[in-house]
Amino acid sequence: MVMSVIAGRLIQLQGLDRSTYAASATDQRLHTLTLPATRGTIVDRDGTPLAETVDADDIVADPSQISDVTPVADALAPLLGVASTRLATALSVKGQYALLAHAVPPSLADQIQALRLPGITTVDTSKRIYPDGSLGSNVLGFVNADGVGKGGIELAYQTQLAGHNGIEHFEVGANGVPIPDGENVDKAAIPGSTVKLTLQRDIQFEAQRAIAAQVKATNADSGTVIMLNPTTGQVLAMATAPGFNPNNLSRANPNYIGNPAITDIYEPGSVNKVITMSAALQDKLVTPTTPFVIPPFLRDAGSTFHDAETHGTEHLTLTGILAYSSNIGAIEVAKQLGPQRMYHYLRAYGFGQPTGIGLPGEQQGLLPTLAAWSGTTLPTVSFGQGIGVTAMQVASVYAAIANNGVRVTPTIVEGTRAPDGSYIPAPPPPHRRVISAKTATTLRDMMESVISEQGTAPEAAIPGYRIAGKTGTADRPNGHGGYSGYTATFVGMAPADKPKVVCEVVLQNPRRGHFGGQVAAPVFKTVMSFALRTLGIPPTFTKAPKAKLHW
Amino acid sequence: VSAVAPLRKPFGLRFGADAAPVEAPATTKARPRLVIVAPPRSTAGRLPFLILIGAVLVSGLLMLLMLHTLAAQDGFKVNALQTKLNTLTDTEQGLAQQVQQDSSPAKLRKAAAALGMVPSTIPSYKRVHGRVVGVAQPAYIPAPAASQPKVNPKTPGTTAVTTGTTATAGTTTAANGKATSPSKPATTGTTTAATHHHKPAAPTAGTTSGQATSQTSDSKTSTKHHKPTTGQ
Repeated sequence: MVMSVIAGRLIQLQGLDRSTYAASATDQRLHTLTLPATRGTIVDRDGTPLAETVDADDIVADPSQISDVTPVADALAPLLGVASTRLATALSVKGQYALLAHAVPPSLADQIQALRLPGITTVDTSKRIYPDGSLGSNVLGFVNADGVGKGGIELAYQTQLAGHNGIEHFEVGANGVPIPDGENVDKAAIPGSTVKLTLQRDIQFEAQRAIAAQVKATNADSGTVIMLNPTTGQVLAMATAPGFNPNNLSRANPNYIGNPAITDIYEPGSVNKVITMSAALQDKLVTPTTPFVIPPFLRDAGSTFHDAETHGTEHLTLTGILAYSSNIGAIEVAKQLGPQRMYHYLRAYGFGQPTGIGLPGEQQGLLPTLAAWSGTTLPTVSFGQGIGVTAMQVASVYAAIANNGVRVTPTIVEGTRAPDGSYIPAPPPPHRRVISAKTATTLRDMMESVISEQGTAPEAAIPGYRIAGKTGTADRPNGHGGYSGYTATFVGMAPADKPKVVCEVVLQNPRRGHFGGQVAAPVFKTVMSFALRTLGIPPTFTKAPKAKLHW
Repeated sequence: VSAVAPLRKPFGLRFGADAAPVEAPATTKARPRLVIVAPPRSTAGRLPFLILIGAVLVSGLLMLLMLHTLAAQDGFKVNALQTKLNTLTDTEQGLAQQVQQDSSPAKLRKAAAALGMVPSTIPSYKRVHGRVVGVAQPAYIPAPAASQPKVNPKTPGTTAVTTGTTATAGTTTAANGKATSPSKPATTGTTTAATHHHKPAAPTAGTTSGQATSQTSDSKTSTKHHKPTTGQ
């Protein structure tokens, strides 16, 4: 009887539960290591790294092993750049773990190890670094303490950048040394893909430098520069100021860690007049020389509209309205167009919807649906007030005009390179025609007069090149239903007859000077000249057509 | 097998039809006497076999030991090489970072400014059939708030004046090209450089753009204006 119970138990242990016990026995010997995947690099269009992950070491202490903290703290203080007293406090905690420094360079860790301090060890880790500091940080975004993307490209391409962690199992003997012939299953970590942006580092730097300087010089709240290739939709630079340094996120102002180029909504002002004009030209309601009588003020739908500067009755052509940026003229054009057509073109140019650039947090702006338009909406919208847009949306409008009327969805990622070296280009961005090539050419010819001595932005002129562009000086909503301050804009393209680059400069609430032609145009000139040089774009050797502004 | 089969009939079959004739002769014949047979004399000693087994056993053990030793040795080697690899990777990364930091636009800009260089604007272009298009613009410091080029404090004596006299326009152009666009050296003469407070040397041959002047800034937020009648 007893024997059979024992036999039964034996069968149960050896027969039925065998695998369980064998497994738990193996578990005692088996160690599992997670092999962290190295996060992918973010590079610019020439392959220059803008964000990369490097090896680093944490400096860790076991306070229970340190009897006398002062000499240890004194030895570490100069190396870690921390006050000795602070280190002493950190070393005096109870327990067996104190993190003294996070992710220091391996060379520094080696120096610390060479000191052979009791209770001080280094732990392998990795660190996300941005070699050029704040360069492009609004686009790149940042990672959190765990190395997970939480903003910008780091967030949008988190999956591709992260890769897959590997696993290593191995058996160890009683002394903790791996058993050579033991079970050893390795699953190598698959590093993250490299994300290649369309940004060009030098142009991005110059744009960022120039806008930061101008924001400071004009005491503006913020500023944005966007530069893109109108044919491909590729963004060459997207700079915002003030910005942040992702290497030092803890010290960044949380208000400045976003990307205002795609999240800030503002009223575009006169830059919107090109939409009004292109619509009227496209629908054959006007030509560049169509005469308009511009009264000193205009009553419409119960409101009175003025131009920025008082004037008598003027006789301007359509080109003249654009060159002098007459609000009243724009209203007159818009009234010929009607709200339906106006709304159609605003939508066709991409207002009221995200541009599709694929960066996180992009805003679609504020474009009231046609049903919500009141009597004053059409005249107000005709010169760019009463609607909300992002800088990227405006840049995209001008890119469409530069690209002979075809709007190409802006892109900022050129492709990704898998760890095996295979390159996957980003899908070609969708495009659609907004206006005819002829209308676009006409419009560009007209926009060249804006840069002329008579126009609003002679300061945007780059000698030798034909430049087309438009200024904007918009009233800035103060967030309480009223307006205070201005939004100064200049958007332009070069060369005007065969645009290769479009550049937009926006300054929010500049306090020293506020006209687009005065504060934004010089930045345009600086950044655009730099880009033309850097990209090696020669002038077209043609002459701008003679514009007739008056009649 | 079939030939033997009838002799080893199963027990049960004895009760069959042919059981009687098989049994009958057994009773009549007498069994032979059992005799002790001498064991066959073995042809070989037992020792060599034991030696063989022993040798196999020992060599097996030795081989196993060797394998283990080799494996352990390889383990140490792997460990050592891994450590070396890590160190070298760290070194490489460190050096790469240093190169990157030193070649960053911000650093280069500072370094160029320390040498007395200023950013250029637009060069003039020479067309293949000889006509020069555009006028090379004097270099200027673009934004109003841009810092004046500083003389590098580390190299006392390298004042703007000495830089101006030693550097030809051609060399400053090349240096500036490197400074402003490291990825694209100034090949087409698309950059110009100027030295401060000093008349520059004449552009070297082949540099269509190497025009430098003593002007420091022409970027003024203009107050003189064209007369816009309207909103801008």
